[in-house]
Amino acid sequence: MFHHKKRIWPVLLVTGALTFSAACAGDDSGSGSGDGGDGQVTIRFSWWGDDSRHRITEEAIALFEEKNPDIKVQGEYSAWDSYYDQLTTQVASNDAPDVFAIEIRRLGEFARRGSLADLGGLVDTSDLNEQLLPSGNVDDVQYAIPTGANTFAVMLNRAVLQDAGLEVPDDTSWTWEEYLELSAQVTENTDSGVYGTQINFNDAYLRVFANQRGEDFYTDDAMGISEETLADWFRSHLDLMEAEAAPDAARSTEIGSTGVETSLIATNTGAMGMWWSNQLNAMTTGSGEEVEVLRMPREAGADTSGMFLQPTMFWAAAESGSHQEAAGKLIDFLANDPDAARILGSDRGLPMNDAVLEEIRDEMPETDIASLEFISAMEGELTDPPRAYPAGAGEIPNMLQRYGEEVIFGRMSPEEAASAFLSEADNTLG
Amino acid sequence: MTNKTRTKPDSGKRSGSGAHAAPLNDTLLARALLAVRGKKLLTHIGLILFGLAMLYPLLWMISSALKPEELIFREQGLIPTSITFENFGAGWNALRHPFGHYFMNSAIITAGAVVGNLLACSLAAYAFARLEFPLKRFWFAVMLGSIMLPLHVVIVPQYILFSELGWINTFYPLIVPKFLATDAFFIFLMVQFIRTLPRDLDEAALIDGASHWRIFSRIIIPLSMPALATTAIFTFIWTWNDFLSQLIFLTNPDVHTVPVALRTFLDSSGESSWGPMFAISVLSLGPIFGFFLAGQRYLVRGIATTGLK
Amino acid sequence: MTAVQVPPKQALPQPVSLVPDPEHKRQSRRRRRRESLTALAFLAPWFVGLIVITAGPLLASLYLSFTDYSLLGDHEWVGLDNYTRMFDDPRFVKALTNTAIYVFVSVPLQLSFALALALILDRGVRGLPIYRSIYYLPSLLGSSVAIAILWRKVFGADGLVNDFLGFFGIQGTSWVSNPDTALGTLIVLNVWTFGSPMVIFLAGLRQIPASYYEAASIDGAGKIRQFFSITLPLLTPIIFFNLILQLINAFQSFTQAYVVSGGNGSPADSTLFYTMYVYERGFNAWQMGYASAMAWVLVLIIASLTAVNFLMSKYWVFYNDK
Repeated sequence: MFHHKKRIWPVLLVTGALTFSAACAGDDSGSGSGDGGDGQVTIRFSWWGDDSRHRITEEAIALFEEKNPDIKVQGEYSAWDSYYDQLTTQVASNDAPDVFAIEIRRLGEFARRGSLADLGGLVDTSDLNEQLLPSGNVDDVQYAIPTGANTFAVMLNRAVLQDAGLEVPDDTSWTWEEYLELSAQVTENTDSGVYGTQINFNDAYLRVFANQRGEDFYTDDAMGISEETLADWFRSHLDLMEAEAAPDAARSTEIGSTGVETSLIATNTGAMGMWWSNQLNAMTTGSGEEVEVLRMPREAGADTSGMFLQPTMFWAAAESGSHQEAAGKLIDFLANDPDAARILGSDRGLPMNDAVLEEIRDEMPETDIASLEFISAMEGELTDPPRAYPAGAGEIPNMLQRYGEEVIFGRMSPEEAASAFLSEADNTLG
Repeated sequence: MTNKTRTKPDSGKRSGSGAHAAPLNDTLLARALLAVRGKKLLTHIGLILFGLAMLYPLLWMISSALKPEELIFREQGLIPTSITFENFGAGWNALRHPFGHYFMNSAIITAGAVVGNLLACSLAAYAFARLEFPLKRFWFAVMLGSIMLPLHVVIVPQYILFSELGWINTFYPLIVPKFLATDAFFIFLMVQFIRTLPRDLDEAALIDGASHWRIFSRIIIPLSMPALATTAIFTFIWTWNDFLSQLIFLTNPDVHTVPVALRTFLDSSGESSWGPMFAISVLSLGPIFGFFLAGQRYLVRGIATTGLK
Repeated sequence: MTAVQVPPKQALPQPVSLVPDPEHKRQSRRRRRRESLTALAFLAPWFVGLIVITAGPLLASLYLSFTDYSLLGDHEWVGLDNYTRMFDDPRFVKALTNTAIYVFVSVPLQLSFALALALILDRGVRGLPIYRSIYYLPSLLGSSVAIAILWRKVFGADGLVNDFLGFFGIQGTSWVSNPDTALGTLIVLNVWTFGSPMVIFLAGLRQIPASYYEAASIDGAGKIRQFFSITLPLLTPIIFFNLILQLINAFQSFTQAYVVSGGNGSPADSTLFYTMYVYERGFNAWQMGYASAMAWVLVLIIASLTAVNFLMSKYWVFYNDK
């Protein structure tokens, strides 16, 4: 009567043995960079992104390996949300990839804690945009090379605006008030469920807002924004909601929580929004309509647009890496080689290498050319790109969103939120 | 020994029951039958309506997977206005390897985890449920306590440990611990199940001179088929869906698993491939649902519980 | 437990002698030692796992909870600072409150659903495997990334719930994104995955020897009586297991809230769960020392609740092996 169990034990054991040997097979691609047989070195290279980025980056790696037969590159990628979990664990465990992507919020911390290698001498920076390059410089050491640039701007869905019977505004002179009025009119002139703009707690918006008042976002180790400016900024969201220029608090939060694809512009349910210029392509694809990039509105009487060139992300090398020269070669290839740029396009921001840009310009897609033209047209208006942030800055965006939500749900006044934010931020930064 | 479970209920506590009431006349009987059938029908209607609410997410996911990508968020309805299988093809071939590769990796890890848990947890459970040993309560508390710490604060020390062993980017960190019964939940589960089994059987066997190993393998295991099936099903699903440990220990895309590979479709910092994500998500439900369907056959009354012949 | 009417054990020869006889004592001591050795053999894999895999990282995190470890760089001993700091941290209190509400509302609801449906389905409903599979589906989907979009589809401003309320002329809010209701939708999400405890209940019901029911029927016990005297008492160990399991799971609940809220407890920290805060402090703020301290406080909380449950279990959990 127990006959069938007799078969179970051997089956379990055999399956166990099989999975073990299968697990061994996975060992072949084990971690750890090292020397291959004939003087070949292997370096690990890690980045975040979506599937199309993985594809082109791997293509670029293949080309690099072809040009540098003595270096083998093992690409490791992950999604944005989990990228730092992985990277930080590896760095903390002294097992960092040799080359990795990093963004400006974390750059300062990684550099100051001694995790990044000095790239001076390893990477040729002579052709790179002079305005952008210093953003990868921390305490006078070039720890990181910007991959490209974009800028935070207003985007406009032309079809929605036309439905509302309204004209495209003159973005060289428009003010925050005009922005609010135009948005309110869109809501009024269209069906229910279509709005002028959407609430946005992106720290880049606050940076532009503060720049226009002559305030820096960060000082060396603290917030540079005044309580008054911050309170005004929080209030600007309330104003948009009260004028019905934007959806109510709950709907705004919902829309704001899932990214580009669900934005008002991409779903043709809103006319405007603030986004990074490299998101233009996603907006256009999502809506199927013509989307235009506009300058940010100004504070009446401000003498600067407040807009800035943002290093989309950086390439960095691990200080602990045993093949820094090879790592440097890879970064140099990614930053300077026109063939690499041809493959990578503007996926990590518009290339900021003049020589490279010249070569690939004709091959760029329409949306890229549009944002490139937008940025070139603004030359001289853009303030310097941000420098590496103080330690703890990685938390600031979530903190802004949290206090922003407290404000729009009426749980805190803009003034209360501004003061609470600044005291929490002061405890965090440093 | 096999007949010893055929014990009789304690008749001493029997009390009058309404089930044996006065005899019924014919019309009353017919009406009662009808009522019973009506009640059954009502139960089914209730169960089906409830089931629809449960099915909605799956239907919605399938519908989203079949929509052209740009319509996923623009179109509200459940029924797609135009159907495409593009998402499946695009998703399958979107990454370094065709998705079959990641399915295989997930399958190897999951199979290893299931076997490991079944072996190691049932052994430990037998000791806790049936044997006496010093400090038993203490060890039981340690066993339960070991699953109370959130993974996030031990993952870095774990990484260092596995990295020292040279196990990063292999499946060992995800399989070997299961053979060492680190999923203590399942020990607890099996302890609870074993303790619902009457002790008469094994005590009788013990007196007949059977070893504990023999009792374990010949009596307890066959009697615990539902518990083993539950353990297998849950291990399969949890391992298949597990994200964090697979993300941290498998950084090389060659050894990525389905959940890790799936996340790379979503990029909250840029563009996400929602269509392929939905398509592959639907496909990745296949193995777990299939395993559940296969495993639930063992959730029937086992040979032992239906009475031994 | 007086109402329990289960078959008593057969009268078996008891190995324990009533007479204090040295020969017997020695024998029983030897027997006990042999049983301990047997237990050790059965527990060997678990012991190895405990020492080699579990203990190290566990103790490391305990040690780090007394330091200012930041993931990168060195760490210094700070004594109890991390532990005292929690009391002054309003977000810690918020996370603890959210989690407590979540646990104490969703676990009883989820278990009641699971038990009720398991009992209905176990009554020999036709098509049981189909219903069981359908009800189990949400548990399979529960941790999928797709759930973030799905939950907006159901509880969003233009979601199903509001469509339904619209029939009655009620204008609903965006339930997922309103700080007053967001936690509620996560509770619903947890209750909705009642399939897992249901399957365990069903397995438990299937483990009850049919002979008990046969015997009870012969003795003329009705269905209801059989339920209360056989089914329920014999199911109590499984109910107990499910309770402990769901309690621990709910306290550690992470993925669902993380995915639905976009990883930051939005809106306005209303879905900030304990483990999410632990994770955020550790991996986002790089305060792994503080995160470890919070994690150990969580262990204390769960452990004491579990201990209370184990103590209480004496009064309502019936083990057939006694």
